[in-house]
Amino acid sequence: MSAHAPPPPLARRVGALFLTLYCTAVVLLGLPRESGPRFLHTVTIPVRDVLDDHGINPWHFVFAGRRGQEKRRNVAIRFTGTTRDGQRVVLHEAPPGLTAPAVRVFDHLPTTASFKSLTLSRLGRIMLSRSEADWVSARDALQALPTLRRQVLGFCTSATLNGGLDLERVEMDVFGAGIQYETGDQYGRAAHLFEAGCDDRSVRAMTGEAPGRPDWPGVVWLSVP
Amino acid sequence: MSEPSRLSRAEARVIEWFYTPASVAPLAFVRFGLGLVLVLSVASYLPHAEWLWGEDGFSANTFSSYAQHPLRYHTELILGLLLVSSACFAVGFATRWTGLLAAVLQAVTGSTGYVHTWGWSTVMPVVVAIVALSAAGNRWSVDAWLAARKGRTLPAVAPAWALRLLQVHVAVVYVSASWHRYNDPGWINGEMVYAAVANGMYTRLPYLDPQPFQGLFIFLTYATELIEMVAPVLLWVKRVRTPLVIGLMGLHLGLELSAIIGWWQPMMLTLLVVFLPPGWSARVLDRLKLPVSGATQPE
Repeated sequence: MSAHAPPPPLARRVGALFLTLYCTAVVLLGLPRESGPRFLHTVTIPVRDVLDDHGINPWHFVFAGRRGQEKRRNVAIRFTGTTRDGQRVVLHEAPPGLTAPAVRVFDHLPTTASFKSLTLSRLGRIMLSRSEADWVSARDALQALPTLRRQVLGFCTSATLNGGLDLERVEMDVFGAGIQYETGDQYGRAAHLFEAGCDDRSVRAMTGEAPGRPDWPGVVWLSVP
Repeated sequence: MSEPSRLSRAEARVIEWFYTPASVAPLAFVRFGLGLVLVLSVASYLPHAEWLWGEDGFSANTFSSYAQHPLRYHTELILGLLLVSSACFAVGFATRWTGLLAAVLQAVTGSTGYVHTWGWSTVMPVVVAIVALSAAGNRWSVDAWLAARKGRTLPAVAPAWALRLLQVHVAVVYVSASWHRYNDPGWINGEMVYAAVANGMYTRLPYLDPQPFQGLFIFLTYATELIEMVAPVLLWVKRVRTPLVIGLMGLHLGLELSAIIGWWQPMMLTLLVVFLPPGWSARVLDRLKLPVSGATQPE
């Protein structure tokens, strides 16, 4: 800029100030949560993992470890209604037929919505299925969700969801499987999650196995505690 | 007369950065791409709209926060208007108004709780609004064609502020995407691409045995990690910008071919154009031979 150049017009100066502030806000909002108070906890995770490898991790006295070679493999959800004459009708499956097509071309909106209504963190945990204790804790977390209880009741009462059937009760089942990174072994569990009485509008958390497991190649089905 | 102060010089540079004249070709390309993504996404929602968003549908029976949501009682109206305004925005008809309407309606749809999407639609309303407010309708648009019929030629260059805002948004997307990878054991151990390909929620090949491809997946994990970590900085370095953008486009194309994460990849592939030389967008748009091209070509 030359020493004799006239100052830029006021409107342009105000505009540039506004645009600069906007860009600053976008950058600050884009910075991750870890740059906040959780930073120390997060950055120490890999250090703890390396110490874990050598069995000398004093950090376990401070933070729980976070090592695991198990990955998520498949998940499915099914709602089944029972009519007054005792007929069982599948009301909704995500994915349809509990088994995704061998090659997925498009996203299926009801499947995505069904998965995400369970929240991804809880859904991920129910897929990691090898440890019995972890799996029970993941199931408990799902059964504690008030949104899921409303959802099961919704299949009782909503004609949009149940096709106008007069239902006595509705059951919700969840199927999840994990895969071991090192070996490729797959472990799944088929869980009976909820049962809703349509007349008294009650929802009960269930234990035990869901009938009709999906046909997922290579999955060894574990018992449901 | 004394030399301008350091603050004045900085201000002049900022003003120049935002207001230097730039070709509208990249903005026209982004307008067309984002409009198309919106049209296709809404069209894919329509068969299930009542089931998911209707008055007595899935969301109404799941989320208490949805009880008074406008989409619950006006599902067809809102999605229909979104479809029409997105199509108008894509072809550049009343670009400013249809773009702003599409941005607002997309935000309304997204505010249902995002159970239908994987996060891309939180970015979409903002970038569509920026493009709508810019001179993106000045070329390859119905607006340009209508103006030409009245004997007017809309400018092929405009102040660069919209391009700059989009560039900042794209860079920040990579900041957000890459930061958590520094200390995530899955990324450090090279397992994340394996995890994504093995996961039936995302992968296009849900029953592929991932074990034989572990070596490839480790390489792809580290390549992804590297390119996304350097992107927020190197996108601003002119000498490496173009090959980096091509690399990032390859990354998004690879992701699109292997996984379904909503419309993230088509959106990012479109937005990355703002870092490429403007002539590239102009050449692609010219090849489309749109009947509604502008009266003159951009500089």
